[in-house]
Amino acid sequence: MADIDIIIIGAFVALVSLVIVELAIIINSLRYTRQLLRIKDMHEAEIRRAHEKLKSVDKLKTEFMNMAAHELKTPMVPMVGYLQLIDKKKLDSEDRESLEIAIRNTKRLQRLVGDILDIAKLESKVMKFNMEEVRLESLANDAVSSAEPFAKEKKIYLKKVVPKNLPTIKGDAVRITQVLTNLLNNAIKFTDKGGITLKASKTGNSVLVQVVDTGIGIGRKDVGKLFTKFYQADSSGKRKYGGTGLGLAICKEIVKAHGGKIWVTSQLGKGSIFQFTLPSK
Amino acid sequence: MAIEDRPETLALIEKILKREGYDFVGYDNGEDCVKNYEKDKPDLILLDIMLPGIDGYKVFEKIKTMNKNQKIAFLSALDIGPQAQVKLFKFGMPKYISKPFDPDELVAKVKELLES
Ligand SMILES: Nc1ncnc2c1ncn2[C@@H]1O[C@H](COP(=O)(O)OP(=O)(O)OP(=O)(O)O)[C@@H](O)[C@H]1O
Ligand SMILES: [Mg+2]
Repeated sequence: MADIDIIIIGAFVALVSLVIVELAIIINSLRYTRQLLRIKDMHEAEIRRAHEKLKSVDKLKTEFMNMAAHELKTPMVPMVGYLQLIDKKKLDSEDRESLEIAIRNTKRLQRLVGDILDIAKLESKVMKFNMEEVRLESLANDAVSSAEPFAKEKKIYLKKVVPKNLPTIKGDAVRITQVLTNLLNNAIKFTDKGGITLKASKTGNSVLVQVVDTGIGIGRKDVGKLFTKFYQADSSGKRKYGGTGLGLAICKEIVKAHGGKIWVTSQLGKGSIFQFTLPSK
Repeated sequence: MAIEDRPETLALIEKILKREGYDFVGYDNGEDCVKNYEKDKPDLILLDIMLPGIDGYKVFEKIKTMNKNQKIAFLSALDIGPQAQVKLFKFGMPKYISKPFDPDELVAKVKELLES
């Protein structure tokens, strides 16, 4: 009897102490959870603060970039304008040549300033794209007609093969035209006989654009580096072609921002194919 | 009519357009342009964006509410971003001439605008 009592009491004590331990654990874990929640709140506030800070840094960066662009271009307006207003007929041949050199170089500077600002804005994601539904055909027309005079001057052909039923793409018309113009100008610059063909076609969910030339081609060791800014092939030799090596870097950033890819295949002495894709909408 | 805060650039635009035989009046700020608008009755306004006082966008809105058919082209070294485009959309997208410009290019654009 007494044994049973002891067993019952013992069991009861064990149960109670178990409950107490359980309770202690629960209370503790509650406290712990509360602590965790507090830490989480703290972290969230911190993350929010950091995010706000980043956003304002981003805004400052954008503002700075836009101001710098504006201020750099502003003095170029009268510089470019007044030089071109000078009446060449009133000058003797020596002065005329000086003026032409000055004009040529202000134009170079103007292009360079534009290109450097573009690459800086692209790389820092400050550039804004005006995305709309565009037909590649009309952009190709614009690019070809602006490149045409240069091809004529070099007596090489410039053809365009763009099918009528190409799907539209979602993109910034000005920037895509800039890519086309850069590639066409390169092709013309590096081609002395034969010519250039601008082709477009549909591949899967993308539009593929190809600029095919019959020019000097690119050596194997250069092919991978051309899209790096300021990189120019044959930089060992004397500068025969001019330029700064920014054109393809700008093209790459623009195509990338549209969700496409750009690459080149080439054979030294035979010609090159620069091609890129743009997702159709 | 041109609104441009830099005197050298304003004089440049004046020179280029007068050489082509156009009548020209220029202002170096937006307020004067708005104030004299009814009197000047320009065929075309070339409008800078970054101006002291009210900026080019504001001038654009003010003129368009006075006369929604007024031909106006922006002439600026700024990239007009999508935001500004949205803002101006309700007036119909204005023409945009980017600086720096070649004199020939400016004349061609002005001709085109006046004929449109
Ligand atoms: N169609 C091409 N054929 C052969 N080489 C090319 C062709 N396009 C580009 N390249 C090579 O790639 C280099 C980089 O081209 P990119 O357009 O970036 O610069 P660039 O034309 O030299 O100068 P910029 O475009 O800044 O005026 C060129 O210098 C040239 O060596
Ligand atoms: Mg180039």
